[in-house]
Amino acid sequence: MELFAMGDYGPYVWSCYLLTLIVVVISTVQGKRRHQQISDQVTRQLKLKEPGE
Amino acid sequence: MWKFIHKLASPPHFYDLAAKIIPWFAVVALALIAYGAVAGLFLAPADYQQGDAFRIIYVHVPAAYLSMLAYSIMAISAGIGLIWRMKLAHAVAAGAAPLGAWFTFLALATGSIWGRPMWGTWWEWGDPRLTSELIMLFLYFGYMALRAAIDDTAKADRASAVLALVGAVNVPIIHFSVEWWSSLHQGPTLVREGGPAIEPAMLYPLLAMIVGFSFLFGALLLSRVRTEVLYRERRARWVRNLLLPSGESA
Amino acid sequence: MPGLWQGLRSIVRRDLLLAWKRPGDMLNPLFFFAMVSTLFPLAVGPSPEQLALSGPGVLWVAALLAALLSLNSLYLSDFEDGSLDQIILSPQPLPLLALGKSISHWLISGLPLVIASPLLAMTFRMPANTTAVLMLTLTLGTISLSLLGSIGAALTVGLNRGNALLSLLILPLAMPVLIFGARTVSLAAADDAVAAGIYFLAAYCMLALSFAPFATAAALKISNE
Repeated sequence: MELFAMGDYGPYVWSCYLLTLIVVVISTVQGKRRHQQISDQVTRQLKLKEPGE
Repeated sequence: MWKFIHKLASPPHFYDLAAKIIPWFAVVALALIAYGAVAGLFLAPADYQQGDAFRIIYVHVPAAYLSMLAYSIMAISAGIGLIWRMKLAHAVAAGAAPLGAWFTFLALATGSIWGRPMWGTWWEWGDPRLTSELIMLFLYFGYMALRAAIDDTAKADRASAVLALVGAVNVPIIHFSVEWWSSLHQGPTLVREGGPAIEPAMLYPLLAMIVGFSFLFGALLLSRVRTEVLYRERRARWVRNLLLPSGESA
Repeated sequence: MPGLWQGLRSIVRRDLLLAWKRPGDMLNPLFFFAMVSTLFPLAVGPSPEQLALSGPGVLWVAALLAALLSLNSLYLSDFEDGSLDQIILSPQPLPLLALGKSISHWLISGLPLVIASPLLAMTFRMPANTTAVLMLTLTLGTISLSLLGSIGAALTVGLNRGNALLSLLILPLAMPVLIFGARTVSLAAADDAVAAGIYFLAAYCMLALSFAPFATAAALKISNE
């Protein structure tokens, strides 16, 4: 446990690392979500055109 | 060599190649960051002046470095897109911006948190780097806001490219201004990174984190550019073949 | 075909004539400048030390905001009545015309601020030598803002809610001007050397002069298609 206390600076150090993890996760998820959204949107629009051809 | 680059600039080739590269980048990134974080948090000796607080360096420096790398990539690819009219270049600029903004925010947040025990305050206007990062965040927001405000993709690409280039000239000027300004204060000492002579045990995790985060950034960027490409090329044949043959999606 | 100097003069004259018919173009920024500068002491209190300390900063921020507000209309009326098309299609080089518009913008919105500044400086109990430095820095600063601001104005002309966006875009460009401008005046108030700050402002102004018209021209062509 003492290892985690980081000599009184614990909250500062750990909040930074946690924040980094959160930012990386959010930006990754955001990117994947958007890709899925675009993929779905484009697929839908292509399917709409199909019957007419 | 030119043929490779030429091929690369073609959207469908880029789309496939990027898909293959991303997992490798992610694996390398994970390995380096895992080593860097563990070594930085537990193995590196505490700093003589800052104690264990200095360990924040292992996330703050990569974040700050990435924020600037992203801006350079954004400005350079915007310039390439503007001058040589390469669509893919514009897609890269568009993809780099939100990532750059995230890492700028992270740099500011970790910098501020680091500053609290060091300077006794959550924000120090006299620190040139913190203030320049803040201004860079505004540059990113401006870029993204301008893009969002223009409906036509090509027009948005070109207008934001002009903005990115103008901002690029401005970033070093801003940094210099704030440095001059703060040098006139009898202000608190700036955060020194590591100490007078940074020893290997402290340095290696830092290098690992910087390189690891670069690969992570690369993976994230390539994946966002793929999304951009998919959207921009939505009317092209290759996209239709990709998304429709048997109803499978990318 | 008229020469470059003729082209420059004619666009400046045109804008000045238009502004003559719309006094608001000059008066609005001026009133805003005066308002912010006088509201501040009212809010903060009349203590002379505080006023003297905050004077440079407050006056500079007020001038900056006034300039920002006035930039919105730089290309707006031209866009609305179609003369922007004419400007872009003109045989005169577009960067030259952009420069001309920046010059007239400064004459209409920037120069009045400089002229009014000594009066407002008095309310902050600013001594004469400091006021002189204030006027010099404001001159260089407002010229830079007219030049750089036109880039933002050109990028956002015709966009919905372009105003807020314009301010966001210009802010990073305006920061070095603000920092050096206000700080140099503070140095003057403390009887410190101001040469470095003045040189920087002049250099920044030269830099703006050399690339802003081209960036504005590029932005105008892009925005207007």
